[in-house]
Amino acid sequence: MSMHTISRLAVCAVLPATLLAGCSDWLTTKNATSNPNFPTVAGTNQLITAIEVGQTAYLTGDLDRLFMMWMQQAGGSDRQYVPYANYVYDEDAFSPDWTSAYTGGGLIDMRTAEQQALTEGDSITAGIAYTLEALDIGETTTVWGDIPYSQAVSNVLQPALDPQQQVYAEVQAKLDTALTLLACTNALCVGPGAADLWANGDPTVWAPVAHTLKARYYLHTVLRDPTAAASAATQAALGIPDASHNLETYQSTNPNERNLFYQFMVLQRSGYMSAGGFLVDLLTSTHDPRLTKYFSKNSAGVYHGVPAAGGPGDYSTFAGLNTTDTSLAGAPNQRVPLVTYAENQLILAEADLRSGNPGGATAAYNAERTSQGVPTASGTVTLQQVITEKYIADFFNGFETWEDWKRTCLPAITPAPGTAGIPGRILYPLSTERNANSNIPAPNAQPALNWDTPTACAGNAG
Amino acid sequence: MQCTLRQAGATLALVVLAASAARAQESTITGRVTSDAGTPLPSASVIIEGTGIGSVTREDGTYTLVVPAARANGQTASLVARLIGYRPATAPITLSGTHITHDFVLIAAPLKLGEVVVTGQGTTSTRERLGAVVNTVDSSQIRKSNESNVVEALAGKAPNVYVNQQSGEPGASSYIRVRGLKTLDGSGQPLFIVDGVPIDNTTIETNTANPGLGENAAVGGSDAPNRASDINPNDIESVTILKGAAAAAIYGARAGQGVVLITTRHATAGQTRYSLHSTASFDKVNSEYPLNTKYGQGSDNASPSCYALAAPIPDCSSSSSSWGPLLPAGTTTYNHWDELFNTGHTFDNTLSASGGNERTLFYVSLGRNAQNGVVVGPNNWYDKTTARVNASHRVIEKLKVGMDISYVDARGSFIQKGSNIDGLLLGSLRTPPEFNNQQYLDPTTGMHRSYRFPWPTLASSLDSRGYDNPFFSINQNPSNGNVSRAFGNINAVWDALDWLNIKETFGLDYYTDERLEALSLTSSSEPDGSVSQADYKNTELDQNLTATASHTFNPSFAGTLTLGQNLNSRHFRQLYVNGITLVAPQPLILNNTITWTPNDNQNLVHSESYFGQATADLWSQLYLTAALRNDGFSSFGLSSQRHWFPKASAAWVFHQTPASGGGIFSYGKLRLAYGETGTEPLPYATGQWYSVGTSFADAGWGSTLLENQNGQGGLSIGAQKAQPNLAPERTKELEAGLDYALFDQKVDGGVTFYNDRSVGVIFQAPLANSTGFFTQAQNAATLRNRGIEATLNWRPITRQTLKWDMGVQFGWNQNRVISLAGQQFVDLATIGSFTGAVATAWGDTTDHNMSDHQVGVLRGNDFARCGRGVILPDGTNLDQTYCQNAPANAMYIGPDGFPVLDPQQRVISIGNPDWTGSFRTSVTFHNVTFSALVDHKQGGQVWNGTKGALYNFGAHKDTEIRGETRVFGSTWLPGPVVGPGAGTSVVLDQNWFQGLGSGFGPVGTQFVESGTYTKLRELAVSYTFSGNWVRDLGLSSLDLRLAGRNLVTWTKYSGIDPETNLAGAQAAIQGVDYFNNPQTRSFVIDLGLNR
Repeated sequence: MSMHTISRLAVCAVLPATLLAGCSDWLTTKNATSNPNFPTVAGTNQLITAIEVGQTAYLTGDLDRLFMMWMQQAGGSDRQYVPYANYVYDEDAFSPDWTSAYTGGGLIDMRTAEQQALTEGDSITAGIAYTLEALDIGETTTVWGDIPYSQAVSNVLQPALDPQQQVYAEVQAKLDTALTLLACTNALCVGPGAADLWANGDPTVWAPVAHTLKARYYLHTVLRDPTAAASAATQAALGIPDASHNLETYQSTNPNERNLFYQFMVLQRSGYMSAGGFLVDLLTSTHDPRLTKYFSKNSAGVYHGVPAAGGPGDYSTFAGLNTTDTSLAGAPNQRVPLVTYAENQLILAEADLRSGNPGGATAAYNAERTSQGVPTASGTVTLQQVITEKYIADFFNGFETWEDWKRTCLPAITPAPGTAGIPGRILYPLSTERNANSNIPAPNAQPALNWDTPTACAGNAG
Repeated sequence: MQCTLRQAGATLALVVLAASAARAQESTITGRVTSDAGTPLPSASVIIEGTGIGSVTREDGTYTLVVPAARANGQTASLVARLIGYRPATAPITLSGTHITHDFVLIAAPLKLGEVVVTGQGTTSTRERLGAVVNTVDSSQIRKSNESNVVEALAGKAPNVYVNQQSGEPGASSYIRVRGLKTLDGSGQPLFIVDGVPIDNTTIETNTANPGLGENAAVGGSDAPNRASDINPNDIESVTILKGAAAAAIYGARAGQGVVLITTRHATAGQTRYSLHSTASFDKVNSEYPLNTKYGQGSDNASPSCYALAAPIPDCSSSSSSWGPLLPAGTTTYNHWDELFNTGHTFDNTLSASGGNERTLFYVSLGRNAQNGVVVGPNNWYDKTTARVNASHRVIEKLKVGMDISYVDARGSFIQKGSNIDGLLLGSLRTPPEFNNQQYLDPTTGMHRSYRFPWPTLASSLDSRGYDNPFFSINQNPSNGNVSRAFGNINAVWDALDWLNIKETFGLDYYTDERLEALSLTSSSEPDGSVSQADYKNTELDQNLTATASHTFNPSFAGTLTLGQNLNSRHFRQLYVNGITLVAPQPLILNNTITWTPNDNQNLVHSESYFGQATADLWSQLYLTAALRNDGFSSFGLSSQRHWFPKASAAWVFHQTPASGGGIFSYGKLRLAYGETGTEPLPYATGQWYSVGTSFADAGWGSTLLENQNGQGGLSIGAQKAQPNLAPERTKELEAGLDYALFDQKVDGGVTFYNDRSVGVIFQAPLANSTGFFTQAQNAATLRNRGIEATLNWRPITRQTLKWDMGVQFGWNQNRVISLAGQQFVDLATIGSFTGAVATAWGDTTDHNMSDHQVGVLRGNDFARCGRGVILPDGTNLDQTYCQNAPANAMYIGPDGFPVLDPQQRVISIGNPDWTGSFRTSVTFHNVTFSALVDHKQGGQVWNGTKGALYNFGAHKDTEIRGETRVFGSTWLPGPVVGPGAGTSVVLDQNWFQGLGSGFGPVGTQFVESGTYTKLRELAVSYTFSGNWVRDLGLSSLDLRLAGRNLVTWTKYSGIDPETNLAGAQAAIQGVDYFNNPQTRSFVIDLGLNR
């Protein structure tokens, strides 16, 4: 408000013509029709930054911890985490996670970033955005199976569910596009640089990551598609070449940048989640040096994880919570791995095993074991060895650990006693989707298992 | 058009003539105005119509007018005498430079027929012509209320005008609702217009998210004034309330909740008159709170561990509750209610002067209202200084220019209250009886001590106290507001032609409001200290141009036509910074804090409107009005930025006895009116934007990741999807009524029926998140309000020396949610709610109890009861198994003798009253007048969250029964019961009061109480001194009045006051009680000196 407004108002009032026609822009003046407090356009760099923070909240937060508990890498030791560890939750429990996949910081912003980057000719940024979309949607379909995708983030108010098979195919197509775009070498392909919190806009990180993701999602479909294992092996061979090219979240010791394991286990919900009994026992029995990287001793000075049933007790917790040593799990500044060399090698190992190449599988397994500083296999590797190693190495990736278990029933976890067993999928959320989308079936009409995991593991839900 | 030119020429000629006629003689007119009973009538106005020359009668009824020679040209004119309550009288005179004497006898006319009523947007009418209800409250009624807030002064003054004061704190806001809530988006406050110009009446609580977008209500924090309280009530001539759409449609898309038109005092020509009006008011808290005085701090009958050892344990965090052992006889206990309050006082002085001549008139006033609140200590006050100038000058014969300008400086200091662990009553009422809160600093260390932190050492300088000691909060958590405001208008009235009047008004309302709300080190919610500095700036510009043509075609057909244009611009800006972590303990300013979070936010709304109104008077008995307004608002969707609002009304005076006549049936009028009004959307819902500085949450676990990381700024799309087609909410109302007078106007009354339907009511409709958004604003809900209003006045004695009159008013409004576009409920977004008591609009179609379907109810849980299809936890169908012969709503008692939870959410409390009414009477005997106003609210439930919380802590008086046996359905929660445990005696102890019987438990219904009250709002005796000694003092009159306000409240409500309004005037929901600061009663001495 200013003299400017006053003079405009005077002009609009006094000019006789305005008695008939009005002041043509009085109602459409900029600050009155568009919000002056917020930007109405966002640059691709700002979008990439927000997307990576949003996806960090999605992929390393609530659901990740839930699946780590179900997989007994972690355990529920207080309040709501005890029923969660016993697979007790209602259809609205994971509404916020679903939101992360689609809304601000999720799919809608990825689509904008892709289109803007292509318009600007920056194929590197577009390729990164496509890879981010593939990761987001790949994990979302891993959890919920059939999901809204082809009609999502459009003007369709009630997007239909796409079959999981189709979603995986789309994810592969997105990654193919991403790989093409990431190969760009022309001058417009500047990439997001530091705005890419995870990989500094480096296409030599993102291209192998895209190959590893292709391998990951091919492997998800091996129970349905006889050619998937070979495709996975091919892609993994082009995947992440070493641990220095891992895709990891950005974290620091700054208050709003500390990783969510630290924030949950120390700042917000101390005692809710502790070390998982199965993993503690596995690492202890094999004298695996990763035990001390993952877990601390309890107050009695021993490593003791939460049993499947959960509940309070004197348990080990994560090793790094009270440190800033990024080699220890849960340190506030520890960057959380999302797609890794270890995963890539173990995907290759499984794919080779499934395609009748045990020699290649053993080599991949041993390379991964060596990189982790643990002994190699004495002979030809088995699927159980591969998945068990992946279960250890993928410690922070509950999404993939759960998916591997659903496919292979490995490792052989005993579900919480007195329950129907570990769920094979979770329900579509009520308040953030089903309430306003009639395409979503009621809980009792939803499948117990997703298309990619057609059979429940013995003694488990499905 | 030919006519126009000729008239214009004549006007010009007149101006020239006036300038050249200076040699003629001036003319003097004198006389006396008396009533038909023969007594002199002071303060009657006598004017020469069409000239602006006028005067006011003296105490003896005499008047003198002087007409300058320049304007006494031998023309004939009408001399009119008017006084409210009497029929105007007219006499023809000839202005010829001679002395004229004319006496008037005015006939009493209590119906106030002929009285000019402002009907908005520059239009006026007379009372008998009105086709829709317009309530008028005059200056004497405002003054008698002894309220410094004009909104509060309207309590009990008009049917279905419901007023509710936030608390008795100085500067607390008052909520006003006219004929029910018609929106889901805001608080439902009417539009306020002062002297033709809209003013801001929002209530901004510091620390609310975005006050410019209506998000101003808070259940914690401290009180704040509604900004209409910036008007000095002593400056008010009258308040006119346009209640329904049928009356308010002339204001279009801002009038959906009604319009309050305030007219300030203006002068009449004559001797300069002076007036000094002084009141002194003494205020006391009007209630006591029942607290436990028998049991000490602790749990399970044991003292807290902090007390287990002989010596105090430094920095020990002690038990929060009073479930400890029975206090030994002789233990010193403290009254945690009384110790907080003392007598508050208010001093109000207004000095005014008015007068002028036939060309220039002025009214000036200076007022000071200084209020010291009832909370002990120096930080509970509100001071308001006001200055007003209303002046006009007749530039030429036909052109008058004027201004009505007021400046206000209002500043106050408020106390933390409500749902707020730094709040006054939350900490105080939870304190065990044996703890001495008054010693709020540790005598050794000087540190803040509270019952949950009894022995602080210096090492605890950054530690929370659990709850603040209330005396610490009073003294060390400042909350200040400082308003500087100018509002008013400049105007010009041009009588362009005999039949054409053109009026231009340019108005401004500008204020800055500087707030500081700080929490010192060791405050419970921010032990590191917090400073919030908020600067609000509001600017509203309003330009209104009207042209009115009037013509009398023949004695049985006259009409007017008004055309107008209105332009309006409203800009709100907040610059808010919260700093946390104090560096040094003092001073409490931003510079002394480490981490700052800004919120710089502004919004701008422009509107451009055209309107027209036509009236026709037929055979002096049928009065027709039709109006049409076209509104364009910048907040409407660009695809449909203009909307029409029509209205039409008819008033038929089917019976009227002659002016002097009597008769049993002396007056009758039938009214019928239809109108449409709107409620504008909040700005910026039509466009898409990116959020800035958003945090991504880890589901609901509290962890967050800011989207700005590693020095990179992130942008993510906002949660709301743009709604480019947003239109105003539209209220359509049909109103019909009858006005009548009986027994020679000794009795009069009126009855009105209305039915309105609000369609396209906006709410944030949830979206499937796979669309990329959470919500989208939609014009989708439908609401209905219908009601009956009735008034009845009786003047049994009307003798000059003894008058007695009385009146009753009744208003019933039924609010219904007709449709929420498929939603079961829509939570009201602009106010804070409580877990288990969420403010909502309820429209669940599976709930067939239609009385639940209202806006502004609370949703929560009840115990399992018959008739609701409850399945018990063991799988039993309650209705089939236990309820065959049971009364409806019988409560199920489980085998253990306790009721069980019904997990389904329902409406648990309806804050809207069933009906409201008032009764007033006054008796005048010679110079003494007694008067009283009784105000009644029937129904309207209150959720007594304070009681629920105090049950949990064992701090409520009721919990002294701990360990005793009770039987549900008879000696506890009486009512019909069924089930295996019906009639079983159970022990009520800490387990019950902290379990299902706790206010923090899921069953909110047990703390819902009837909010019915009857209040003796006003009681007064006044005496008018008029003896010679008064004249010897140089005064014309001296009035002395002794009065009381809110002296008695009759209610069964067990909390502080059923009128309490936790979240203030910006909250649509009424009837929420949670440690709100209390209401007060006042004793008033009022002195008026007139000269």
